[in-house]
Amino acid sequence: MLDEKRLIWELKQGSNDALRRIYMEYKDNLLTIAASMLHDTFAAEDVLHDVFVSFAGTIGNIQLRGSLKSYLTASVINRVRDMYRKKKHHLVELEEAGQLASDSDGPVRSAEFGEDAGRLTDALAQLPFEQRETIVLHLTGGMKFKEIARMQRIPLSTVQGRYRYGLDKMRTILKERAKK
Amino acid sequence: MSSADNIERSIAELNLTTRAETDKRILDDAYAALGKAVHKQQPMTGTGIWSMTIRSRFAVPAAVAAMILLAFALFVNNRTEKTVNIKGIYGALSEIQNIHISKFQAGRTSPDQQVWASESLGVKLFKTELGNQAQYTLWDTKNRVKMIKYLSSNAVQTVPITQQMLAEFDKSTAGSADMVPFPDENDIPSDARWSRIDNREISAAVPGTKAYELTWIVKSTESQSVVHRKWRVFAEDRTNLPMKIEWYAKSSPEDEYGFEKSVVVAYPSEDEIQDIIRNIFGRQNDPEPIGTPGAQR
Repeated sequence: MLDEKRLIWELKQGSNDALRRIYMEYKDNLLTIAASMLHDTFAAEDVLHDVFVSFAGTIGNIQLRGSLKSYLTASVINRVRDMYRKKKHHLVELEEAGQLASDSDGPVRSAEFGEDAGRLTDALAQLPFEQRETIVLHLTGGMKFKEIARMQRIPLSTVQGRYRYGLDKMRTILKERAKK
Repeated sequence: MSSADNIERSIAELNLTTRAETDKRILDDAYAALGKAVHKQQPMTGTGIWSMTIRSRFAVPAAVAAMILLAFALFVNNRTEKTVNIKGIYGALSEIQNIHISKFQAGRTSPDQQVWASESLGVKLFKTELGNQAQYTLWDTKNRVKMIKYLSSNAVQTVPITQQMLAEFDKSTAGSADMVPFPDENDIPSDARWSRIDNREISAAVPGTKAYELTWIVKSTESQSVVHRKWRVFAEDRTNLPMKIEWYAKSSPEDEYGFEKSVVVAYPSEDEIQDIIRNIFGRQNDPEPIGTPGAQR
């Protein structure tokens, strides 16, 4: 467990070591969140890069209200949203997702997740962005519904609804795929 | 994998690992960004309004005081000299109401940043420079107003301080980051070493003070790398208050410590801080003894 208060303080002193410790602690989880959202590991690595460079570059202005993990997770999600908004990332559409997942030369490196997990991320990619975001933040990011609601500035019931609908839809998608 | 439970568990178990080349690329770029940010945080100019005030008001008395202290020191046996520990420094700082800090990066002769703070007045004044844009920023927490003066245009912007802004500001300025090596004296590692500097040339650099050093090692949890840090303080004899602080670092025990930055500290009165604020933001003959001339009027 990191002593976040002290690490942030050391970081504000310019400590590369503190930055490295923070990066090593959270990188894999943040990469997984970004990759689950984007369905593209290369793009997810770019998100991770941008988040840490921005985090380091603005350290003087950063004031944590919650945990450092929540802050970095929120930063990843914001970057992912930006990618969608700017259309820099090619969204994987419903039908396309299945095709890409079976295409090992494609930009989606589902194989890195393993076969079953690849099916999962394919199904995730077919959910509306908000449902996917809620599921990934809760299950991969380990955030409570209350924290997600605060972060997204929406009612708790909306978060719970998105989560439930998202899971139902995933179950349907996976069942249909199993029949094929 | 059809049940919701299974799906939830499977998603929770998803895990990707970054590649070594990705780690290197990200860390290299992040280190560079951090280096720039830390340098920029204190990028200032500054003719030193406070320094000028101090010079004009206290130069002669300070010189006399220094001579008296020196003369006194000559008559006092070294063995009877009081040696403070680092807790004495933290304790002295905790009682301070008004302070002025000038920060100098290595190789710079003018301060990169200046901060005036008065707990009793409820004000903090920063002089900062971003690129060519130098500015004073005043946080007047008693009057709940933030004032910014851009030196390029002399324009003054006034912004009301909300509760949230105040809470964030308090959090960001807590701990006197450049003053003490650790936010709290209880955070000092048990293997850190505190010592008095016997070198006369060093200890005489700031008259009326004794020089001490705290050295400690910062270890990386993931790699074998360590950074050796040194914090040197020139503490005023009578009060134990730091008058100057120097920061050093080195990466191996065989190396010489490299100088990173220094902080020069003064302890002005409320009136002096009010004068400075009035000179920057207020009207020339403003009679009101408040932190922020012009606030809430």
